[in-house]
Amino acid sequence: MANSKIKVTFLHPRTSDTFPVELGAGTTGQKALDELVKANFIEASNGAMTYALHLQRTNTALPLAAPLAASGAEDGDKIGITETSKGAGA
Amino acid sequence: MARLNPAQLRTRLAFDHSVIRGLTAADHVTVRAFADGRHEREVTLTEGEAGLATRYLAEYRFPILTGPGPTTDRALVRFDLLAGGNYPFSEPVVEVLSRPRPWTPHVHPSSGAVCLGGGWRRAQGRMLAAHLVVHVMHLLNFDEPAPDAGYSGWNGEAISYWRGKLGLRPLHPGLPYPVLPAEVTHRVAAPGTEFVALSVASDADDGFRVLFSDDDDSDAFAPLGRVL
Repeated sequence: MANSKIKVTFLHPRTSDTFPVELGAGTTGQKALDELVKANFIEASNGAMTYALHLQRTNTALPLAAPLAASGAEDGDKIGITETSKGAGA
Repeated sequence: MARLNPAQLRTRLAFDHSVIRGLTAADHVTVRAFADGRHEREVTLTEGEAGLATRYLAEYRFPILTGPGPTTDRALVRFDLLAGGNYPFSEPVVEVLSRPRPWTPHVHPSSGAVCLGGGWRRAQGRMLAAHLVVHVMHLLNFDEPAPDAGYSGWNGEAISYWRGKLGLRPLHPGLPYPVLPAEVTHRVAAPGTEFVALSVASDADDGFRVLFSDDDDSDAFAPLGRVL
């Protein structure tokens, strides 16, 4: 079965680094994050922080559980990674 | 610990200013920039671009808990970037100026100090003031990773409320957070402003690239070469 692929670029949450990739139609946001960790583009998520994805073109959040293409990501898109970390208090 | 020289610090402060100015989807927060000194005053655009903005005042506008149920519709928070003594490696001092105080585990009930967590220190100078503005909005919305067992912060009641009443979910799950401008932080074109030159068809190259495959690799993730 033929599957369309899209080329997108991930934006690092803390630096100006970018990471262009080709995604399959079924690649979920979580799968993409896992692969970006394996590629040492971002640190592994841990109990102190989590990641979210943001589609720059539409200014909308991308759910991690769903395929990125099905959530609106298109060829040439830039996908921002945001890091949410814990607060503290004495 | 590393330290920026005065020129580098000015450059960094100018960058912080340009990123904060470019925050998008910032419907629920307004940020104003101020110069350091005895008499605080709002900086002009030119001064901000010259790296003179060292303090920011963020007004968050959404229902923020002031107790187990009651809310206030705004909170005024001050970010003093240089207060730690070695910006951007030292953590800025952040405090809530408005009353009633937000009722969260991370805002000290009497002083208004905001305890930011380990994110700034972990980033080792790579976290921007704009990141901090968004981070505090997350904290005010109880939108952060779940706390460790036994953690009570500065407000054990608020932690219990978050665990019990909110089920460790955000106070407002759909609250849109400001987004840092990628055209500034990553030097990519702003949405809708791209200018892509299309190749002219010729005998040698018809300008068409095959992007389809018969392979069943629908969840593929193929790096195309990292750009730094």
